Amino acid sequence: MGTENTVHKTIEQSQQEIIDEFEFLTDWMDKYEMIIQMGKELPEIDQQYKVPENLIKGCQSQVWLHADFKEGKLFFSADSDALITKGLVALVVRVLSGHSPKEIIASDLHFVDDIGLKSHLSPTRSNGLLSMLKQIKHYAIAFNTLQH
Amino acid sequence: MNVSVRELDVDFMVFSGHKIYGPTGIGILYGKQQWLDKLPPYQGGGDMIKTVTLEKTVYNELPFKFEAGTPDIAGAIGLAAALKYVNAIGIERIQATEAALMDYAMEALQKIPNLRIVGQAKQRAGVISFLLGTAHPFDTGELLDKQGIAVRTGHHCCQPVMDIFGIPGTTRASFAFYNTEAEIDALVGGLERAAKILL
Repeated sequence: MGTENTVHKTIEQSQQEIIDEFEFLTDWMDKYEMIIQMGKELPEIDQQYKVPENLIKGCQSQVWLHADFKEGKLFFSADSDALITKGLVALVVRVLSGHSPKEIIASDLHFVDDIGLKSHLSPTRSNGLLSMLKQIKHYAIAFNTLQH
Repeated sequence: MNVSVRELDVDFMVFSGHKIYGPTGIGILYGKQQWLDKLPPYQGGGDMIKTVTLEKTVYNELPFKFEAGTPDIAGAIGLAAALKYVNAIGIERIQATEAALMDYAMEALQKIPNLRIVGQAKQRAGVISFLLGTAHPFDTGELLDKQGIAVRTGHHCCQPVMDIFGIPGTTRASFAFYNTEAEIDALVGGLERAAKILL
């Protein structure tokens, strides 16, 4: 699931880690290269989850997102046909996967703004990223409701 | 190219202002008077009516019949200025300059490893569609954008054609007469850098 490294970190810690990594690079082409590299390293989604129902609405390129609920925690796996998008997906998965629905609902996701991505992404990508974050919060709300 | 509506004997012709360096939101509709006289107005508003009585409404004459309400004054002045500008430079000169840029770009792009030009029209004009290896056109476009090079990406309003080629879309460079060979060199350099990251 590619989430093992995030399990013991809080959402805030993972965000800070990403902010630090991006701060280290000054050229935006290098930052993009890192995003793409993260996309390439994102573990493959199980093919059975790469179905139309798992496509995120509002993304210009295709993004599949699947949520697994195990022992009170949500684990996300995802894929995209475009590499930059896949890298963005990898960032989101890295921050949010392996946390409880409550933690995800309460999380303040500031890393996208802090690393300057919001102003650097094209509007369609930026909207797509927001749709992805929204979808994850929806999953969290749904599983949180199921729990009670 | 210059087009003569009389020689072609067309009934109607339209074009958009922004295709000729004019403002967006305005265009030109040419129609033969015999048809325009027969056509009812498609929209109501100020200045499109000559007289109104309870029995009868008489529409204003052409072109006012079709120009209801406040006209796009700034747009019309802008479009006129654009047409004068293009005419002053000369359509033939623009065409020759663009054709030379196209030849230069085609030759330069074909030297990039893994670059595939999509479509092999004999009389290519204005645009070159391509794909960089297996990279998604959005990724290629975004990395060019980050290097200050503006291209269009996607299916370019022709999804069935993309289906025929079996591709999600293309990255597309287009040329205007004010572009330079140095800018094409920058595009080639930008693509080579993007290829290193994406492929």
